[in-house]
Amino acid sequence: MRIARTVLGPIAAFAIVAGATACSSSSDGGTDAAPPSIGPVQQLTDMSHQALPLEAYMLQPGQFATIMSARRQLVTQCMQRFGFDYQPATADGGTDPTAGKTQSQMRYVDSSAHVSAYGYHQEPGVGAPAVEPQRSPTELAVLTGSPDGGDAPGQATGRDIPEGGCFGEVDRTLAQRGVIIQDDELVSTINIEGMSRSTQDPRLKQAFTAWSACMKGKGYTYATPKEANQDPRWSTPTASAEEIGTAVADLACMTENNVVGTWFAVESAYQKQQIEANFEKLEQVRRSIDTSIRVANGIVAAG
Amino acid sequence: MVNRPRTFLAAASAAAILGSVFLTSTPASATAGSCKSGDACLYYNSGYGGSKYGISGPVSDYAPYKFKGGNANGQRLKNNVASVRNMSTSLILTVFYNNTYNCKYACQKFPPGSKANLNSKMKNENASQLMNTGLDLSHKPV
Repeated sequence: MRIARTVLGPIAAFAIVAGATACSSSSDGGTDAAPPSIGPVQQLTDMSHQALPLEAYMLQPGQFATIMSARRQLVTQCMQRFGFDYQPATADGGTDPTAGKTQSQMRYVDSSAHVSAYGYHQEPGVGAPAVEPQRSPTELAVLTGSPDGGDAPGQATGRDIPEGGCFGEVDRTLAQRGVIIQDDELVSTINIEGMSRSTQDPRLKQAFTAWSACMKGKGYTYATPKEANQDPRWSTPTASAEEIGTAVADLACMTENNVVGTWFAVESAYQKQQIEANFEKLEQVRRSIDTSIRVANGIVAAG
Repeated sequence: MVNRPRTFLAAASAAAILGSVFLTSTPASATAGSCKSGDACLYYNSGYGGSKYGISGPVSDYAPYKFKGGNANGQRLKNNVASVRNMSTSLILTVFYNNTYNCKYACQKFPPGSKANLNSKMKNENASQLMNTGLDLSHKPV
């Protein structure tokens, strides 16, 4: 199975699209003037200690895990009322490439250890299916409100099944207590728009030009990192020696020209513009994350 | 509320290029027109309306799949979904903006048994999906 990484896949598309839509964008906070000024550019490849400004408003991996633990606990308690011992799956078929990673850690480049082993491919095991536990029709009805996903609420063990089953009941309870179970809509919008605008920015384009010259010096001809990433020769089950050589050179040229540092600075500047333009709404998001974690920790502690 | 076809041809052609490069994982099951327990139920319209597609397990690229029946009959599933119901009873569904489970750009997580519209910039940008326990965390819960 081909598991290749498409690091820079949509950038060309967005470079074209974003220019056409900038004027009508709902969250750009006004007319598009000159690109925002950026602060000092750090030398970066490792993002493990960096965070984009927007990440203060995104559920971080540990926070999401806490909310999922609380939700699972409430579902378990609801199922117990009907005499069921709710057992979720406990083993994955393969690794989750997003596990424990923030958006900025997934954003720009892979680690040196990764590219020298797998090139542009995902590490082995990603995408192997987890096993969905088998449940009786009655247990499914109590969990979801209907065994087939349709609308047939009824009774089980002499009790009325809540609308939407235990999942429905728990999500209403969590919503009433101010707990969010997904990232906010506006935050998602700013995340995607900031990324697409950064790739159009003249300072990042200049960094890509320097990267391209560096690659040429190592014997690789690509105009942008995206081209290297998407080279059709990489459509093999695992990375070839040629692919690994290219990916290693790619990362070296990224480092030599500080493409990641520039990218991070430019994208941070676009995000800050949007954060200022939407300050009140985003402060509400930050408060809702605080509430979510406080309530979820309380649920988990109550057992 | 109605899902509008994407108008960004540039993005569509980028997707077509990627689709030609990458082979697709085999999902545990995939059924156009209906959804069952364990599936990611993918809807053409916002608010869980219009044509739907039930597909469980990992999908590294939605490119081979097409809606059957309903208002999007025959249209592609990839980059054409507006709302999602995660019908797994214990797995977290992640829908990715890019192929091959790639969240560099963006991805959206759906807890088991939950439903939501795709966020506005993720709408019609669904390229791949994973279903996981969420227990594979290098970060412990806070």
